[in-house]
Amino acid sequence: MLWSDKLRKEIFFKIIATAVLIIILIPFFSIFDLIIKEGIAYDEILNIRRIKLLLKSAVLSLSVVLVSLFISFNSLMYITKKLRKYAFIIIAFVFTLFIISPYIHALSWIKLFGIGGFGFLKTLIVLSTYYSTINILILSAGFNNIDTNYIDSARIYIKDEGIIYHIIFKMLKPYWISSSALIFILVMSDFSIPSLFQLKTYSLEIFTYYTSGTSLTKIIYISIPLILINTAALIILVKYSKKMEFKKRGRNLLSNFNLNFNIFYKITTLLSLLVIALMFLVVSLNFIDTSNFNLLYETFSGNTEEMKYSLKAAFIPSILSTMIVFILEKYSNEKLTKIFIVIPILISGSLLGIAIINFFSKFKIYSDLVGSSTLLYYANTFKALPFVYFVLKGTLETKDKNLLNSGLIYEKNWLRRLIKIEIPYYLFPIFSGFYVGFGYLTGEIASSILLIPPGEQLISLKIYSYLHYGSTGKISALGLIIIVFFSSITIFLSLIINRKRRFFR
Amino acid sequence: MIQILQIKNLSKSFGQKKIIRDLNFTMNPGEITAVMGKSGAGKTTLLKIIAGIAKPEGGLIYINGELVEGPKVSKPPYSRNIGFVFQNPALWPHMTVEENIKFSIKNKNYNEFNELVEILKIKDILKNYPEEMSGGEGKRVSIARAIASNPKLLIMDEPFTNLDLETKKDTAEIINIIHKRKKLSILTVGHNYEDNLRISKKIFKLKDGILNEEKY
Repeated sequence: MLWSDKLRKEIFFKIIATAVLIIILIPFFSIFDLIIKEGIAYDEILNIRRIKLLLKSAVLSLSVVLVSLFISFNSLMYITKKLRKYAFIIIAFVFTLFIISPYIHALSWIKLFGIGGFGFLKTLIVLSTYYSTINILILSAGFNNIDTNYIDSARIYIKDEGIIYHIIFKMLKPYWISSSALIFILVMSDFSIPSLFQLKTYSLEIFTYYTSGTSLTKIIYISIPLILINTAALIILVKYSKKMEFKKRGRNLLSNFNLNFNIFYKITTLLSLLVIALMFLVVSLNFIDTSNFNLLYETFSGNTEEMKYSLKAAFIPSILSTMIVFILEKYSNEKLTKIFIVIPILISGSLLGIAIINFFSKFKIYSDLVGSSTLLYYANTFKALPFVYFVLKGTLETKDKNLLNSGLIYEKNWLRRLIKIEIPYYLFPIFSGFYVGFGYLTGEIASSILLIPPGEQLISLKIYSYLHYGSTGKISALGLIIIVFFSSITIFLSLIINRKRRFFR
Repeated sequence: MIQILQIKNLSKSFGQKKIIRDLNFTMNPGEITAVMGKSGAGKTTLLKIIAGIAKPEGGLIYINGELVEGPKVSKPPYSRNIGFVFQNPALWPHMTVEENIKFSIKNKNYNEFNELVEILKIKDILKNYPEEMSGGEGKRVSIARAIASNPKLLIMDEPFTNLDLETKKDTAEIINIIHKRKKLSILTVGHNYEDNLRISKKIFKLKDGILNEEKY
């Protein structure tokens, strides 16, 4: 039969995959559409003052990359060597710290240092400690991929300290370069933390232009240098993320880190761990502030509608983006998927919001769309895609394709195969991708601030607005609710995974 | 005559299981000695203890007459003057073949590098990365890396594992050539009797944590 079961399924999913790729490109069509209509305004793009601002933002981003890399690499070495028994729980906590938004970290540091003065330094501290979490998560995956044989064979020839640099650090190059490129892009695009500490950055400039009513075309021109510099970082990210795999045969570095440190490494690893511990401590300052349970109860009961809406605005798009990534990963051209799916990181959240408004305002149904949550869901789905992709792809690659191929021998019907074999087998990667996307979206503000429908409110926006104008007690209470919510889910899941490790492998 | 390797009362357990019990063993310079044993008998553990990668519970180890492992002494692997060929080649994936081999050469003295490359027939793959090589090539590069540092004692963990018959013959020939030219002392382990016979006439069997010489 020409239209075999398999062929029909392939064509069906390929059409969906192509449609999805086109939808991903809509904001870009929108940006270029304006440029083509208006012509290129070089004076807006090559403005000396703004180029200086771009360089300042790049210096900030690079500093964050270096400091967070130093903290995360050293503390991870300490954790795997000295605290191996608790490594799983510590990494689960680190994951929770990543899931909660950077401005909750900022809030905690503000309590320590105050909000005024030393804007660059304070932004650097908040972003470096916050993004150390991404580094730790990515580097721990690298540690998990390095076979101890590589380390043992090096111990025959050089001292342990030399191995840290020549073997571990160099073998981890694809991991730390990828995470550094990702962090660089995220810091370049973030305006929330710099705005809290009154630090003028390029992203903040774009956002300020938008809020002051500047034309969309001008904002897009101003964004071009940022997009270009982010594209360069993205190319590095894609290039190195391909190499994040080594042939692992035996025990890995995460479970067997036996190198001995000299006094220099002892001090640096311990100091780095102390920074992470300080981060826990500072974030938990929220608890002290909310010792007044009445405030906590009032905040909880007074924000139930916002909480429901926030969960919905994160849940639906993260489900959608997980489905999209899964379909693209399985049924689309791998290179195309890789290029298109990471595009959303390129444009800052505010530019995404602007591009979506510009595109949909051409249609008659625009007023209906603005009144509904459609545009917010669309933007959130778009923003979550790269995060879901990195997690899903990373975990999918560790799966043995032969186990799925063997299903072909015993089950003819693709739907039964999907339900009985593929979905249970891919459950853990799918869920991990979804959870990271969900966590990320609960804290998203950059595009939400532009696209939220009238009459609705998100917890993330409420915290952000309190941080600028409101009471710190309420922020602490909201922060605490988020921390407790995500901590309990993450720890619960970690315990399940730890108990059923063999199943999830 | 100073023995190249001397082991006295060595012991090692994993949990309740005693893998090595009061093991005594000596090896003369210039010899090739093979240790046989079933999977899980402790062959690799024994080699790792000799190399200093794993720690014993008790016993003494002398390499070339020098105490390297004892109650108050534990020399690090890089100070024991040994070469080690791992069961899986364990070639660093981020380095080329040339970089892998030169990494083990002390004081950047590359005089013998070209000779070594010729003997091991790896000239054409010097710029390749480990993932671009076959199993046999990987094994040869691993041997080259192990002897490039001019060790007194070469330790080989299952050098013939995962190789086809032809490649096994080639590898055995190379090991024999190196042994003759460099007058190297070689300690090898493997579970296959015929494979061990390819390079060694002196074979021991590790059983219940004790080594006994095999008569054939």
